[in-house]
Amino acid sequence: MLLRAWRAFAAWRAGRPFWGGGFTMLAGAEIMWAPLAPLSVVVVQGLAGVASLVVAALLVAMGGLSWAQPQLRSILGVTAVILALASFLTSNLGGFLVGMVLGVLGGSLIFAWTPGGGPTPALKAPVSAAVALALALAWPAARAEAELTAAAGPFAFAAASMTMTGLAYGGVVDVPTRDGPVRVLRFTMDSLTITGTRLSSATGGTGELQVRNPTAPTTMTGGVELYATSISGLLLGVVPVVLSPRTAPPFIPATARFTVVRATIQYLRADVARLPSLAETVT
Amino acid sequence: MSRSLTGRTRWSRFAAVLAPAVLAGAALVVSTAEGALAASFAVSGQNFKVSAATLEAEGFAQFGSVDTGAGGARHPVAPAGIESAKLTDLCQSVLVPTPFGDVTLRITAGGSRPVIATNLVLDADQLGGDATFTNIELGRDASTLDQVSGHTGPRGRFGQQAEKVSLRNLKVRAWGTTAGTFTLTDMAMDAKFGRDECF
Repeated sequence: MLLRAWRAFAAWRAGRPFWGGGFTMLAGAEIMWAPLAPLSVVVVQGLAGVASLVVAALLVAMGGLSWAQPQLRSILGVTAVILALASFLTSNLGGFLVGMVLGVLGGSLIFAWTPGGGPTPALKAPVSAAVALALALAWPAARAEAELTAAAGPFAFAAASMTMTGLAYGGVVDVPTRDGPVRVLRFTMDSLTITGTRLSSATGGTGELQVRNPTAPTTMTGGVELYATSISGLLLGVVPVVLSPRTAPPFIPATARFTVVRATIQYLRADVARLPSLAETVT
Repeated sequence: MSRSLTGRTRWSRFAAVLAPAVLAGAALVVSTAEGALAASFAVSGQNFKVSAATLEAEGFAQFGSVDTGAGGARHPVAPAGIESAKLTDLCQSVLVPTPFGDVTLRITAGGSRPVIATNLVLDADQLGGDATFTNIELGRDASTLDQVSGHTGPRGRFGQQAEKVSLRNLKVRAWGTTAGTFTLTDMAMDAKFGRDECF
């Protein structure tokens, strides 16, 4: 029984470039396996990102087709070799060289294989080629317009101290967001110096992006604009101040220093920002 | 079984294809290492580390997202997109667990001339360095980011971007990267048993 199965396999094997096709499929699989980006991200990135997948899928297809249709060995072999070489540029240096070497060997073996005298039994052509082509279908993301739309929720801001120069209060304004306009306090300033900077924003799900600059002051200069839904802190280190669009400030000095600052900020921009000890973590 | 049905490999034909392929492959490796050709990378599912002495980038955008790694593990990340960048003393390392123990794959480049990277997206969960941003914006809707073409996030989500960023002593831990094209100079690639990461 086992012997018969082995004989059947040996006969099948003898009718096609077994090792060549095998190596070529392995090459494609290795390039795909060698740490690969998730498809959804690749699709967003467009053709450039999907190139590594296409090359790997085509290698698998070439190997598979060489088993199914050994009579095409010349063109399949040469194509596999060219694809394997191309993978060096498109796919993590050819799956860190392993896939490229396997593909070059496999393709060469497919090309070199010749059938014996009799007719070669053929299988139905697999759909690998169609799958590979489908993977290539991707579309580039459209470029977004430049006008400001703030994130739906504000980000949390905390600082040991915050010093503002050239400060001007721009009143209560509406900032457009996906969920409609949000009412904020608008401040403009020439410079903003922050110690113990800590920002955190939701990244979807339970994730949180934290931006810290713990050991050096953050300096923001030129055209600083701050849109906040709330600010609290100690003015000049002593006077407690709580600001929101409902409790707008009666008077704002041109230079102000707050300590123990907590704020929720909808939008913040500056011409230049320097964060000498920037540390971003996502948890 | 009839002998005539058995196929065979004609080694002269094998050599006829293999020889030029080996030559072409060697030429590719050499010209990539010298920076004449750009190579693309796509990595995910396990974290890898990138470090550089300096990074000067045009176009920076970042927002929150979640990567799904090997075995379905979910990693919250902040994909940092960079339109184009010059990096010096670039190091990339990935730790691959194998049945024979950990293997560190490490690529270093940019020792004498800077490495040029374009359309680089790093799905980072740790990013640090001495940073200076030009025209920085924090709190923009992630779907409206426009400093890196094609790099936008979900509507309503927090996003930040800058026209330029200059980073010294850059250290990034990432779970994925896409469509990053590197023109590598003085490239060296090695694989070692054990942990020998960039930082």
